[in-house]
Amino acid sequence: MIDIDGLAGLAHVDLAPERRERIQEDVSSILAYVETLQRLDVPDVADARGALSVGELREDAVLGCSEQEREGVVNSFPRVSDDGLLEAQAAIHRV
Amino acid sequence: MNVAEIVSHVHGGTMSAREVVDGYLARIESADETLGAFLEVFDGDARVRADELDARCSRGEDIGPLGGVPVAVKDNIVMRGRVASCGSRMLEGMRAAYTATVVERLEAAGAIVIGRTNMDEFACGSSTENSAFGVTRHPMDRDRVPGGSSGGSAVAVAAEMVPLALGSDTGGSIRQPAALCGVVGFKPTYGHVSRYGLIAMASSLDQIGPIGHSVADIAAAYRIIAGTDVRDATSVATELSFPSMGPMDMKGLRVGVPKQFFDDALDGEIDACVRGAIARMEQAGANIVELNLSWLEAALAIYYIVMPAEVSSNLNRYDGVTYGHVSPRDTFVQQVTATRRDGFGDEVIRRILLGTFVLSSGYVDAYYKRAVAAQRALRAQLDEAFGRVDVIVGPTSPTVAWPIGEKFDDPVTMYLSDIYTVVANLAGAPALSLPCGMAHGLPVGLQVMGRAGDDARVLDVGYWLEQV
Repeated sequence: MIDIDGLAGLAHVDLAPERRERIQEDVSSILAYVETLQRLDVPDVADARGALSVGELREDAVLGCSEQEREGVVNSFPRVSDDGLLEAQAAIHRV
Repeated sequence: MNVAEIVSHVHGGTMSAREVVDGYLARIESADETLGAFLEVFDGDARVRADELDARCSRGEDIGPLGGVPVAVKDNIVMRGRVASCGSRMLEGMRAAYTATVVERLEAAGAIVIGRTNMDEFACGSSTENSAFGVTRHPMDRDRVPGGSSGGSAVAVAAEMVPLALGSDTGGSIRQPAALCGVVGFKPTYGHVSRYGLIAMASSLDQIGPIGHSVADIAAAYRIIAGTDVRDATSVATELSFPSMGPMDMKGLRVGVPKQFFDDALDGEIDACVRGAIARMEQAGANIVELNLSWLEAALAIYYIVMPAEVSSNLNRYDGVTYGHVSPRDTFVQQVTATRRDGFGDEVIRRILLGTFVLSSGYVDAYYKRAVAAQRALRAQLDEAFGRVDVIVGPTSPTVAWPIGEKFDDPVTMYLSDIYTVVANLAGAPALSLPCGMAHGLPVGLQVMGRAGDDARVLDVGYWLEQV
Protein backbone atom coordinates (compact mmCIF):
# COMPACT_ATOMS: atom_id res chain seq x y z
CA MET A 1 0.00 0.00 0.00
CA ILE A 2 1.22 3.50 -0.81
CA ASP A 3 1.77 6.15 1.85
CA ILE A 4 -1.45 8.01 1.13
CA ASP A 5 -0.96 10.58 3.90
CA GLY A 6 2.53 11.48 2.68
CA LEU A 7 1.19 11.80 -0.85
CA ALA A 8 -1.76 13.93 0.26
CA GLY A 9 0.71 16.23 2.04
CA LEU A 10 2.79 16.62 -1.12
CA ALA A 11 -0.35 17.34 -3.15
CA HIS A 12 -1.70 19.81 -0.56
CA VAL A 13 -4.94 17.90 -0.17
CA ASP A 14 -6.59 17.24 3.17
CA LEU A 15 -8.20 13.81 2.77
CA ALA A 16 -11.36 13.55 4.81
CA PRO A 17 -11.46 10.30 6.85
CA GLU A 18 -14.46 8.95 4.94
CA ARG A 19 -12.54 9.38 1.66
CA ARG A 20 -9.08 8.31 2.77
CA GLU A 21 -9.36 4.51 2.72
CA ARG A 22 -11.31 4.34 -0.53
CA ILE A 23 -8.93 6.67 -2.36
CA GLN A 24 -5.91 4.78 -1.04
CA GLU A 25 -7.36 1.54 -2.46
CA ASP A 26 -8.22 3.21 -5.78
CA VAL A 27 -4.80 4.79 -6.25
CA SER A 28 -3.12 1.47 -5.36
CA SER A 29 -5.24 -0.41 -7.92
CA ILE A 30 -4.45 2.17 -10.65
CA LEU A 31 -0.73 1.93 -9.86
CA ALA A 32 -0.99 -1.87 -10.06
CA TYR A 33 -2.49 -1.46 -13.55
CA VAL A 34 0.22 0.91 -14.81
CA GLU A 35 2.86 -1.46 -13.38
CA THR A 36 2.57 -3.28 -16.73
CA LEU A 37 5.02 -0.71 -18.06
CA GLN A 38 7.68 -2.01 -15.70
CA ARG A 39 7.71 -5.32 -17.57
CA LEU A 40 8.37 -3.74 -20.97
CA ASP A 41 11.73 -3.06 -22.51
CA VAL A 42 11.66 0.73 -22.62
CA PRO A 43 14.54 2.77 -24.06
CA ASP A 44 16.25 5.19 -21.66
CA VAL A 45 15.36 8.86 -21.89
CA ALA A 46 17.78 11.62 -21.07
CA ASP A 47 15.10 14.10 -20.08
CA ALA A 48 11.50 14.13 -18.97
CA ARG A 49 10.09 16.96 -21.04
CA GLY A 50 7.34 14.81 -22.43
CA ALA A 51 6.99 13.61 -25.98
CA LEU A 52 6.55 17.15 -27.34
CA SER A 53 9.76 18.47 -28.80
CA VAL A 54 10.74 21.99 -27.84
CA GLY A 55 10.99 22.92 -31.52
CA GLU A 56 7.21 22.74 -31.73
CA LEU A 57 6.77 25.66 -29.36
CA ARG A 58 6.69 29.27 -30.47
CA GLU A 59 9.03 31.81 -28.93
CA ASP A 60 8.15 32.54 -25.31
CA ALA A 61 7.21 36.19 -25.65
CA VAL A 62 4.90 38.58 -23.82
CA LEU A 63 1.94 39.30 -26.11
CA GLY A 64 -0.11 41.62 -23.96
CA CYS A 65 -3.89 41.67 -23.96
CA SER A 66 -6.79 43.93 -24.75
CA GLU A 67 -7.96 46.53 -22.25
CA GLN A 68 -11.23 44.59 -22.04
CA GLU A 69 -9.38 41.41 -21.01
CA ARG A 70 -7.25 43.31 -18.52
CA GLU A 71 -10.36 44.80 -16.95
CA GLY A 72 -11.96 41.37 -16.73
CA VAL A 73 -8.98 39.94 -14.87
CA VAL A 74 -8.66 42.93 -12.54
CA ASN A 75 -12.37 42.87 -11.73
CA SER A 76 -12.19 39.20 -10.75
CA PHE A 77 -10.06 40.10 -7.70
CA PRO A 78 -11.92 40.47 -4.39
CA ARG A 79 -10.91 44.13 -4.11
CA VAL A 80 -9.00 46.73 -6.08
CA SER A 81 -7.56 49.68 -4.15
CA ASP A 82 -7.81 53.26 -5.37
CA ASP A 83 -4.15 53.23 -6.40
CA GLY A 84 -4.63 50.04 -8.44
CA LEU A 85 -3.36 47.40 -6.01
CA LEU A 86 -5.12 44.03 -6.26
CA GLU A 87 -6.22 42.20 -3.15
CA ALA A 88 -6.09 38.39 -3.22
CA GLN A 89 -7.23 35.92 -0.57
CA ALA A 90 -5.08 36.12 2.55
CA ALA A 91 -2.13 33.76 2.36
CA ILE A 92 -0.62 34.46 5.79
CA HIS A 93 -0.95 33.03 9.26
CA ARG A 94 -3.99 34.67 10.86
CA VAL A 95 -3.28 33.74 14.52
CA MET B 1 -31.55 20.10 -39.73
CA ASN B 2 -27.90 19.85 -40.54
CA VAL B 3 -25.51 22.80 -40.51
CA ALA B 4 -25.64 23.35 -44.28
CA GLU B 5 -29.46 23.40 -44.23
CA ILE B 6 -29.56 25.94 -41.41
CA VAL B 7 -27.06 28.18 -43.18
CA SER B 8 -28.94 27.83 -46.45
CA HIS B 9 -32.30 28.70 -44.83
CA VAL B 10 -30.95 31.70 -42.94
CA HIS B 11 -28.93 33.07 -45.86
CA GLY B 12 -31.78 32.41 -48.28
CA GLY B 13 -34.43 33.98 -46.09
CA THR B 14 -36.64 30.87 -45.88
CA MET B 15 -36.09 30.78 -42.12
CA SER B 16 -34.75 33.43 -39.78
CA ALA B 17 -31.91 32.86 -37.33
CA ARG B 18 -34.44 33.73 -34.63
CA GLU B 19 -36.73 30.89 -35.77
CA VAL B 20 -33.80 28.48 -35.74
CA VAL B 21 -32.77 29.54 -32.24
CA ASP B 22 -36.34 29.47 -30.92
CA GLY B 23 -36.76 25.94 -32.28
CA TYR B 24 -33.67 24.63 -30.53
CA LEU B 25 -34.47 26.49 -27.30
CA ALA B 26 -37.92 24.87 -27.29
CA ARG B 27 -36.29 21.47 -27.70
CA ILE B 28 -33.91 22.19 -24.79
CA GLU B 29 -36.87 23.30 -22.68
CA SER B 30 -38.73 20.05 -23.32
CA ALA B 31 -35.87 17.54 -23.32
CA ASP B 32 -33.08 18.71 -21.05
CA GLU B 33 -34.86 18.38 -17.73
CA THR B 34 -34.40 14.60 -17.87
CA LEU B 35 -31.06 14.64 -19.72
CA GLY B 36 -29.01 17.24 -17.87
CA ALA B 37 -26.85 18.16 -20.84
CA PHE B 38 -26.81 21.91 -20.19
CA LEU B 39 -25.45 23.69 -17.14
CA GLU B 40 -26.70 27.03 -18.44
CA VAL B 41 -28.76 28.12 -21.44
CA PHE B 42 -28.14 31.61 -22.81
CA ASP B 43 -31.68 31.95 -24.13
CA GLY B 44 -31.93 35.73 -23.92
CA ASP B 45 -28.52 36.46 -25.39
CA ALA B 46 -28.97 33.81 -28.09
CA ARG B 47 -32.23 35.45 -29.21
CA VAL B 48 -30.64 38.91 -29.24
CA ARG B 49 -27.74 37.60 -31.29
CA ALA B 50 -30.12 35.85 -33.70
CA ASP B 51 -32.05 39.10 -34.19
CA GLU B 52 -28.80 40.93 -34.92
CA LEU B 53 -27.85 38.34 -37.52
CA ASP B 54 -31.30 38.54 -39.10
CA ALA B 55 -31.02 42.33 -39.27
CA ARG B 56 -27.63 42.07 -40.96
CA CYS B 57 -28.99 39.46 -43.34
CA SER B 58 -31.92 41.69 -44.29
CA ARG B 59 -29.44 44.47 -45.11
CA GLY B 60 -27.75 42.07 -47.52
CA GLU B 61 -24.65 41.57 -45.37
CA ASP B 62 -22.73 38.30 -45.33
CA ILE B 63 -23.28 36.80 -41.88
CA GLY B 64 -20.63 34.15 -42.30
CA PRO B 65 -20.29 30.46 -43.18
CA LEU B 66 -22.00 29.39 -39.93
CA GLY B 67 -24.53 32.22 -39.97
CA GLY B 68 -27.42 31.35 -37.65
CA VAL B 69 -26.06 27.98 -36.46
CA PRO B 70 -26.59 27.42 -32.71
CA VAL B 71 -23.57 25.93 -30.91
CA ALA B 72 -23.20 24.51 -27.40
CA VAL B 73 -19.87 24.91 -25.60
CA LYS B 74 -18.32 22.57 -23.04
CA ASP B 75 -17.99 24.12 -19.58
CA ASN B 76 -14.17 24.17 -19.72
CA ILE B 77 -13.99 26.62 -22.65
CA VAL B 78 -14.13 30.21 -21.47
CA MET B 79 -16.37 33.01 -22.71
CA ARG B 80 -15.90 36.53 -21.36
CA GLY B 81 -18.34 37.40 -18.59
CA ARG B 82 -19.79 33.90 -18.47
CA VAL B 83 -19.27 31.21 -15.86
CA ALA B 84 -16.78 28.47 -16.79
CA SER B 85 -16.93 26.02 -13.90
CA CYS B 86 -15.28 22.96 -15.46
CA GLY B 87 -18.00 20.94 -13.75
CA SER B 88 -16.32 21.67 -10.42
CA ARG B 89 -17.23 23.30 -7.11
CA MET B 90 -13.71 24.76 -7.26
CA LEU B 91 -14.75 27.13 -10.07
CA GLU B 92 -18.46 27.41 -9.30
CA GLY B 93 -19.61 30.89 -10.29
CA MET B 94 -16.17 31.81 -11.68
CA ARG B 95 -16.65 34.23 -14.58
CA ALA B 96 -14.13 34.34 -17.39
CA ALA B 97 -12.19 37.49 -18.17
CA TYR B 98 -11.68 36.65 -21.84
CA THR B 99 -13.04 34.47 -24.64
CA ALA B 100 -11.43 31.35 -26.06
CA THR B 101 -10.11 31.61 -29.61
CA VAL B 102 -12.43 28.83 -30.82
CA VAL B 103 -15.51 30.71 -29.59
CA GLU B 104 -14.29 34.00 -31.08
CA ARG B 105 -13.83 32.26 -34.43
CA LEU B 106 -17.22 30.54 -34.33
CA GLU B 107 -18.98 33.78 -33.48
CA ALA B 108 -17.09 35.66 -36.18
CA ALA B 109 -18.39 33.00 -38.59
CA GLY B 110 -21.97 33.72 -37.54
CA ALA B 111 -22.55 30.91 -35.02
CA ILE B 112 -24.78 31.54 -32.01
CA VAL B 113 -23.57 30.20 -28.65
CA ILE B 114 -26.68 28.81 -27.00
CA GLY B 115 -25.34 27.45 -23.71
CA ARG B 116 -22.62 25.64 -21.79
CA THR B 117 -22.67 21.89 -21.34
CA ASN B 118 -22.05 19.52 -18.47
CA MET B 119 -18.83 17.54 -18.17
CA ASP B 120 -16.82 15.37 -15.82
CA GLU B 121 -15.04 17.63 -13.35
CA PHE B 122 -11.94 19.17 -14.97
CA ALA B 123 -12.54 16.66 -17.81
CA CYS B 124 -11.51 13.82 -15.48
CA GLY B 125 -13.87 10.99 -16.36
CA SER B 126 -15.44 8.87 -19.07
CA SER B 127 -19.12 8.98 -18.11
CA THR B 128 -20.17 12.54 -17.12
CA GLU B 129 -21.02 11.15 -13.68
CA ASN B 130 -18.21 13.15 -12.09
CA SER B 131 -19.71 16.62 -12.50
CA ALA B 132 -20.33 18.56 -9.29
CA PHE B 133 -23.61 19.70 -10.88
CA GLY B 134 -25.27 16.37 -11.58
CA VAL B 135 -25.16 13.41 -13.93
CA THR B 136 -25.88 13.75 -17.67
CA ARG B 137 -28.04 10.91 -19.02
CA HIS B 138 -28.00 8.95 -22.26
CA PRO B 139 -30.54 10.25 -24.81
CA MET B 140 -31.81 6.74 -25.70
CA ASP B 141 -31.88 5.31 -22.18
CA ARG B 142 -32.02 7.68 -19.22
CA ASP B 143 -30.57 4.98 -16.92
CA ARG B 144 -27.31 4.84 -18.85
CA VAL B 145 -24.29 7.14 -19.09
CA PRO B 146 -23.61 9.14 -22.27
CA GLY B 147 -19.84 8.67 -21.97
CA GLY B 148 -17.52 11.52 -21.16
CA SER B 149 -16.00 13.77 -20.35
CA SER B 150 -17.80 15.84 -23.05
CA GLY B 151 -21.07 14.01 -22.27
CA GLY B 152 -23.14 17.19 -22.12
CA SER B 153 -22.02 18.27 -25.60
CA ALA B 154 -22.62 14.81 -27.10
CA VAL B 155 -26.11 14.56 -25.57
CA ALA B 156 -26.99 18.10 -26.64
CA VAL B 157 -26.30 17.09 -30.24
CA ALA B 158 -27.74 13.56 -30.08
CA ALA B 159 -31.02 14.79 -28.55
CA GLU B 160 -31.34 17.50 -31.26
CA MET B 161 -31.00 20.28 -28.70
CA VAL B 162 -28.27 21.84 -30.83
CA PRO B 163 -26.82 20.98 -34.25
CA LEU B 164 -23.21 21.46 -33.23
CA ALA B 165 -21.19 21.49 -30.02
CA LEU B 166 -17.61 21.93 -28.86
CA GLY B 167 -15.91 19.39 -26.64
CA SER B 168 -12.38 18.75 -25.49
CA ASP B 169 -10.47 15.50 -25.88
CA THR B 170 -7.51 14.53 -23.68
CA GLY B 171 -7.85 10.74 -23.98
CA GLY B 172 -11.08 10.28 -25.92
CA SER B 173 -13.43 12.78 -24.29
CA ILE B 174 -14.95 13.89 -27.61
CA ARG B 175 -14.88 10.57 -29.48
CA GLN B 176 -16.05 8.19 -26.76
CA PRO B 177 -19.25 10.10 -25.81
CA ALA B 178 -19.91 10.71 -29.52
CA ALA B 179 -19.67 6.94 -30.09
CA LEU B 180 -21.88 6.06 -27.14
CA CYS B 181 -24.53 8.62 -28.17
CA GLY B 182 -24.52 7.84 -31.90
CA VAL B 183 -23.11 11.13 -33.19
CA VAL B 184 -19.85 12.24 -34.84
CA GLY B 185 -16.90 13.58 -32.84
CA PHE B 186 -13.50 14.76 -34.03
CA LYS B 187 -10.21 15.28 -32.23
CA PRO B 188 -7.98 17.28 -34.57
CA THR B 189 -4.20 17.04 -34.73
CA TYR B 190 -2.59 18.50 -31.61
CA GLY B 191 -1.84 22.15 -32.39
CA HIS B 192 -4.35 22.51 -35.24
CA VAL B 193 -7.01 24.08 -33.02
CA SER B 194 -6.04 26.74 -30.49
CA ARG B 195 -6.25 25.76 -26.82
CA TYR B 196 -6.31 29.42 -25.77
CA GLY B 197 -9.23 29.62 -23.37
CA LEU B 198 -9.45 25.88 -22.72
CA ILE B 199 -9.03 25.27 -18.99
CA ALA B 200 -6.05 22.92 -18.88
CA MET B 201 -6.25 19.31 -17.78
CA ALA B 202 -3.18 17.67 -19.37
CA SER B 203 -1.67 20.30 -21.65
CA SER B 204 0.34 18.02 -23.94
CA LEU B 205 -2.76 15.92 -24.70
CA ASP B 206 -5.73 18.34 -24.55
CA GLN B 207 -7.40 19.31 -27.81
CA ILE B 208 -10.67 21.11 -28.60
CA GLY B 209 -12.87 19.63 -31.31
CA PRO B 210 -16.43 19.56 -32.68
CA ILE B 211 -19.34 17.16 -32.12
CA GLY B 212 -22.14 17.03 -34.69
CA HIS B 213 -24.62 14.86 -36.57
CA SER B 214 -22.50 14.28 -39.64
CA VAL B 215 -18.94 14.45 -40.89
CA ALA B 216 -19.96 17.37 -43.13
CA ASP B 217 -21.13 19.32 -40.07
CA ILE B 218 -17.91 18.48 -38.23
CA ALA B 219 -15.84 19.58 -41.20
CA ALA B 220 -17.76 22.88 -41.41
CA ALA B 221 -16.88 23.62 -37.78
CA TYR B 222 -13.28 22.41 -38.14
CA ARG B 223 -12.69 24.79 -41.06
CA ILE B 224 -13.61 27.68 -38.79
CA ILE B 225 -11.87 26.75 -35.54
CA ALA B 226 -8.61 25.38 -37.00
CA GLY B 227 -5.60 27.53 -37.70
CA THR B 228 -2.63 29.09 -36.01
CA ASP B 229 -3.04 31.29 -32.93
CA VAL B 230 -0.15 33.17 -31.35
CA ARG B 231 -1.89 32.97 -27.98
CA ASP B 232 -1.39 29.17 -27.88
CA ALA B 233 2.32 28.37 -27.71
CA THR B 234 1.75 24.90 -29.19
CA SER B 235 -0.37 26.08 -32.10
CA VAL B 236 1.09 24.92 -35.42
CA ALA B 237 2.10 27.60 -37.90
CA THR B 238 1.93 25.46 -41.05
CA GLU B 239 -0.83 25.85 -43.61
CA LEU B 240 -3.63 23.37 -42.95
CA SER B 241 -5.50 21.30 -45.49
CA PHE B 242 -9.23 20.79 -45.33
CA PRO B 243 -11.44 17.94 -46.50
CA SER B 244 -12.85 18.01 -50.02
CA MET B 245 -16.12 16.37 -48.87
CA GLY B 246 -16.68 15.15 -52.40
CA PRO B 247 -16.87 11.67 -53.95
CA MET B 248 -13.84 9.67 -52.86
CA ASP B 249 -12.25 6.73 -54.61
CA MET B 250 -11.51 4.02 -52.08
CA LYS B 251 -9.36 2.15 -54.58
CA GLY B 252 -5.83 1.99 -53.33
CA LEU B 253 -6.53 3.55 -49.94
CA ARG B 254 -4.40 1.68 -47.43
CA VAL B 255 -6.43 0.97 -44.31
CA GLY B 256 -4.53 -0.29 -41.26
CA VAL B 257 -6.31 -2.56 -38.81
CA PRO B 258 -4.23 -3.17 -35.67
CA LYS B 259 -4.94 -6.48 -34.01
CA GLN B 260 -4.55 -4.73 -30.64
CA PHE B 261 -7.84 -2.86 -31.33
CA PHE B 262 -9.69 -6.19 -31.50
CA ASP B 263 -8.65 -7.63 -28.16
CA ASP B 264 -10.54 -9.59 -25.51
CA ALA B 265 -11.96 -6.37 -24.05
CA LEU B 266 -14.00 -5.70 -27.21
CA ASP B 267 -17.70 -6.55 -27.13
CA GLY B 268 -18.62 -9.18 -29.77
CA GLU B 269 -21.46 -7.19 -31.34
CA ILE B 270 -19.27 -4.07 -31.59
CA ASP B 271 -16.56 -6.20 -33.19
CA ALA B 272 -19.07 -7.30 -35.85
CA CYS B 273 -20.22 -3.72 -36.58
CA VAL B 274 -16.65 -2.45 -36.98
CA ARG B 275 -15.57 -5.39 -39.14
CA GLY B 276 -18.65 -4.75 -41.29
CA ALA B 277 -17.47 -1.19 -41.95
CA ILE B 278 -13.97 -2.44 -42.78
CA ALA B 279 -15.46 -5.01 -45.18
CA ARG B 280 -17.35 -2.23 -46.98
CA MET B 281 -14.09 -0.35 -47.46
CA GLU B 282 -12.44 -3.47 -48.81
CA GLN B 283 -15.34 -4.13 -51.19
CA ALA B 284 -14.92 -0.60 -52.53
CA GLY B 285 -11.28 -1.27 -53.36
CA ALA B 286 -9.37 -0.29 -50.21
CA ASN B 287 -6.34 -2.37 -49.28
CA ILE B 288 -6.81 -3.70 -45.77
CA VAL B 289 -3.48 -4.06 -43.98
CA GLU B 290 -3.39 -6.01 -40.72
CA LEU B 291 -1.06 -4.33 -38.24
CA ASN B 292 0.67 -5.62 -35.14
CA LEU B 293 1.51 -2.52 -33.09
CA SER B 294 2.78 -3.89 -29.80
CA TRP B 295 3.04 -0.48 -28.10
CA LEU B 296 -0.73 -0.03 -28.36
CA GLU B 297 -1.00 -2.62 -25.58
CA ALA B 298 0.87 -0.21 -23.30
CA ALA B 299 -1.03 2.92 -24.39
CA LEU B 300 -3.50 3.06 -21.52
CA ALA B 301 -0.78 2.50 -18.91
CA ILE B 302 1.35 5.24 -20.50
CA TYR B 303 -1.67 7.54 -20.56
CA TYR B 304 -2.52 6.93 -16.90
CA ILE B 305 0.98 8.08 -15.94
CA VAL B 306 1.51 11.02 -18.31
CA MET B 307 -2.02 12.43 -17.95
CA PRO B 308 -2.22 12.47 -14.10
CA ALA B 309 1.31 13.90 -13.93
CA GLU B 310 0.10 16.87 -15.96
CA VAL B 311 -3.21 17.04 -14.07
CA SER B 312 -1.41 17.27 -10.73
CA SER B 313 0.78 20.04 -12.10
CA ASN B 314 -1.98 22.02 -13.83
CA LEU B 315 -4.44 21.76 -10.94
CA ASN B 316 -1.82 22.91 -8.46
CA ARG B 317 -2.99 26.47 -9.22
CA TYR B 318 -6.30 25.85 -7.45
CA ASP B 319 -5.17 26.79 -3.97
CA GLY B 320 -7.89 29.18 -2.82
CA VAL B 321 -5.60 32.17 -3.30
CA THR B 322 -5.65 32.94 -6.99
CA TYR B 323 -8.76 31.15 -8.28
CA GLY B 324 -12.23 30.14 -7.29
CA HIS B 325 -13.42 28.38 -4.16
CA VAL B 326 -11.77 29.04 -0.79
CA SER B 327 -12.32 27.28 2.55
CA PRO B 328 -11.01 29.87 5.04
CA ARG B 329 -8.70 28.51 7.78
CA ASP B 330 -6.25 29.99 10.25
CA THR B 331 -3.04 29.16 8.46
CA PHE B 332 -2.05 29.15 4.81
CA VAL B 333 -1.35 25.41 4.67
CA GLN B 334 -4.61 24.57 6.41
CA GLN B 335 -6.48 26.85 4.01
CA VAL B 336 -4.93 25.38 0.87
CA THR B 337 -5.46 21.76 1.90
CA ALA B 338 -9.04 22.39 3.06
CA THR B 339 -9.85 24.37 -0.11
CA ARG B 340 -8.65 21.53 -2.30
CA ARG B 341 -10.45 18.92 -0.19
CA ASP B 342 -13.76 20.79 -0.43
CA GLY B 343 -13.37 22.02 -4.01
CA PHE B 344 -12.36 18.81 -5.78
CA GLY B 345 -14.36 15.60 -6.28
CA ASP B 346 -12.96 12.09 -5.80
CA GLU B 347 -11.82 11.44 -9.38
CA VAL B 348 -9.86 14.68 -9.53
CA ILE B 349 -8.27 13.88 -6.15
CA ARG B 350 -7.33 10.39 -7.38
CA ARG B 351 -5.59 11.82 -10.44
CA ILE B 352 -3.80 14.54 -8.47
CA LEU B 353 -2.47 11.95 -6.00
CA LEU B 354 -1.50 9.59 -8.79
CA GLY B 355 0.31 12.37 -10.63
CA THR B 356 2.04 13.51 -7.46
CA PHE B 357 3.21 9.92 -6.90
CA VAL B 358 4.63 9.37 -10.41
CA LEU B 359 6.49 12.70 -10.25
CA SER B 360 7.77 12.28 -6.70
CA SER B 361 11.42 11.81 -5.85
CA GLY B 362 12.32 8.12 -5.95
CA TYR B 363 9.52 7.25 -8.41
CA VAL B 364 9.86 9.73 -11.26
CA ASP B 365 12.41 7.59 -13.14
CA ALA B 366 10.46 4.35 -12.76
CA TYR B 367 7.09 5.89 -13.66
CA TYR B 368 7.03 9.25 -15.42
CA LYS B 369 10.31 9.08 -17.33
CA ARG B 370 9.60 5.49 -18.28
CA ALA B 371 6.14 6.44 -19.53
CA VAL B 372 7.55 9.31 -21.61
CA ALA B 373 10.08 6.92 -23.16
CA ALA B 374 7.30 4.44 -23.91
CA GLN B 375 5.17 7.24 -25.40
CA ARG B 376 8.03 8.10 -27.76
CA ALA B 377 8.36 4.42 -28.72
CA LEU B 378 4.61 4.29 -29.41
CA ARG B 379 4.82 7.41 -31.57
CA ALA B 380 7.75 5.95 -33.49
CA GLN B 381 5.85 2.71 -34.09
CA LEU B 382 2.81 4.64 -35.34
CA ASP B 383 5.02 6.79 -37.60
CA GLU B 384 6.42 3.62 -39.11
CA ALA B 385 2.91 2.19 -39.55
CA PHE B 386 1.75 5.37 -41.31
CA GLY B 387 4.47 4.74 -43.86
CA ARG B 388 2.52 1.62 -44.83
CA VAL B 389 -1.08 2.77 -44.35
CA ASP B 390 -3.08 5.95 -44.92
CA VAL B 391 -5.52 5.59 -42.02
CA ILE B 392 -5.96 3.26 -39.05
CA VAL B 393 -9.47 2.11 -38.18
CA GLY B 394 -11.01 0.26 -35.26
CA PRO B 395 -13.69 0.59 -32.60
CA THR B 396 -13.96 3.83 -30.63
CA SER B 397 -15.05 2.14 -27.41
CA PRO B 398 -14.92 -1.50 -26.26
CA THR B 399 -18.51 -1.32 -24.94
CA VAL B 400 -21.77 0.48 -25.58
CA ALA B 401 -23.18 2.92 -23.01
CA TRP B 402 -23.36 1.27 -19.60
CA PRO B 403 -25.81 1.72 -16.71
CA ILE B 404 -25.26 4.76 -14.51
CA GLY B 405 -23.20 3.78 -11.47
CA GLU B 406 -21.93 0.48 -12.91
CA LYS B 407 -18.28 1.54 -13.18
CA PHE B 408 -18.37 4.55 -10.87
CA ASP B 409 -16.64 2.85 -7.94
CA ASP B 410 -14.10 0.97 -10.04
CA PRO B 411 -11.74 3.50 -11.65
CA VAL B 412 -9.59 0.98 -13.53
CA THR B 413 -12.66 -0.54 -15.23
CA MET B 414 -13.84 2.98 -16.06
CA TYR B 415 -10.44 3.85 -17.54
CA LEU B 416 -10.57 0.81 -19.83
CA SER B 417 -13.37 2.49 -21.78
CA ASP B 418 -10.70 4.82 -23.22
CA ILE B 419 -8.35 2.01 -24.25
CA TYR B 420 -8.68 2.65 -28.03
CA THR B 421 -8.93 6.44 -27.93
CA VAL B 422 -5.90 7.44 -25.82
CA VAL B 423 -3.56 6.37 -28.65
CA ALA B 424 -4.41 9.41 -30.82
CA ASN B 425 -3.75 11.80 -27.92
CA LEU B 426 -0.41 10.20 -27.09
CA ALA B 427 0.54 10.48 -30.77
CA GLY B 428 -0.90 13.99 -31.29
CA ALA B 429 -2.83 12.48 -34.20
CA PRO B 430 -6.27 13.34 -35.64
CA ALA B 431 -9.06 10.85 -34.92
CA LEU B 432 -12.73 10.76 -35.79
CA SER B 433 -15.55 8.69 -34.32
CA LEU B 434 -18.65 8.14 -36.43
CA PRO B 435 -21.65 5.83 -35.99
CA CYS B 436 -21.32 2.38 -37.58
CA GLY B 437 -24.34 0.44 -36.36
CA MET B 438 -26.02 -0.72 -33.18
CA ALA B 439 -25.06 -3.31 -30.57
CA HIS B 440 -27.40 -4.37 -27.76
CA GLY B 441 -29.80 -1.71 -29.06
CA LEU B 442 -27.27 1.10 -28.54
CA PRO B 443 -24.98 3.06 -30.88
CA VAL B 444 -21.51 1.85 -31.86
CA GLY B 445 -18.67 4.16 -32.96
CA LEU B 446 -16.02 3.51 -35.58
CA GLN B 447 -12.71 5.31 -35.09
CA VAL B 448 -10.66 6.59 -38.04
CA MET B 449 -7.19 7.81 -37.11
CA GLY B 450 -4.59 9.46 -39.34
CA ARG B 451 -1.02 10.58 -39.07
CA ALA B 452 -0.49 13.95 -37.37
CA GLY B 453 -1.45 16.67 -39.86
CA ASP B 454 -3.64 14.39 -41.98
CA ASP B 455 -6.96 15.71 -40.64
CA ALA B 456 -8.35 16.29 -44.13
CA ARG B 457 -7.89 12.66 -45.13
CA VAL B 458 -9.44 11.39 -41.88
CA LEU B 459 -12.52 13.54 -42.48
CA ASP B 460 -12.75 12.54 -46.15
CA VAL B 461 -12.62 8.83 -45.23
CA GLY B 462 -15.24 9.44 -42.56
CA TYR B 463 -17.43 11.22 -45.10
CA TRP B 464 -17.13 8.24 -47.47
CA LEU B 465 -18.03 5.80 -44.69
CA GLU B 466 -21.06 7.88 -43.81
CA GLN B 467 -22.38 7.70 -47.38
CA VAL B 468 -22.22 3.89 -47.79
